[in-house]
Amino acid sequence: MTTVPTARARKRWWITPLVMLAGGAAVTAAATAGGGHRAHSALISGLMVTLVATAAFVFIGRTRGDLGALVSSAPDERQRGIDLRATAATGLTMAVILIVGAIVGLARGHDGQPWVDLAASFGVIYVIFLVVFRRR
Amino acid sequence: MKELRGTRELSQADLGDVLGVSRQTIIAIERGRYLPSLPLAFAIARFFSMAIEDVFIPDNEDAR
Repeated sequence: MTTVPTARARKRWWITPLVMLAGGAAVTAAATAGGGHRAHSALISGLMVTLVATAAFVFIGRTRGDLGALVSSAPDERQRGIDLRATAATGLTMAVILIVGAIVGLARGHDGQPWVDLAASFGVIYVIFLVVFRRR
Repeated sequence: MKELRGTRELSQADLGDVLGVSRQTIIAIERGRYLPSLPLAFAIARFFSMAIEDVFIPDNEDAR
């Protein structure tokens, strides 16, 4: 229950921007390897999005307030609660998008892919976490 | 809690530093927008040398 970043938290803080950069580099490399006429624009936009997102993450982490604390790996209990609720709301919204996508796909005469598989995966993962968390 | 903080002439940021939480969290508790966890509630009561039920008035609506 502290808002003061420990040395360990400060070290861990760099993991997220590094993962963002690595992910962006992987997407960029995939776009380059895939080739095609869209590879060039994908390469440029991928690099831009990665750099802007990483810079925003670093900048927000330096600010005071709830967002800064959440990004800086030193949130207090209320801020962790905000993070949990935001994550849950995002997950539920994504579930609704997947289900609507599947319904629209089926209504248009398609097989509902990839929406159906993604929605089913979402449901299975949710049940797995229900079982895991009720034991804790 | 706001009155108790006032008697000690502490700012919200000061109290947050003592308790290890953010100023925003102190504001949220004082405005009744956030119910602190039991450990934090006990820490607040201990800081003011009071019983927890003297700092936080139980509300039956919140007990459910």
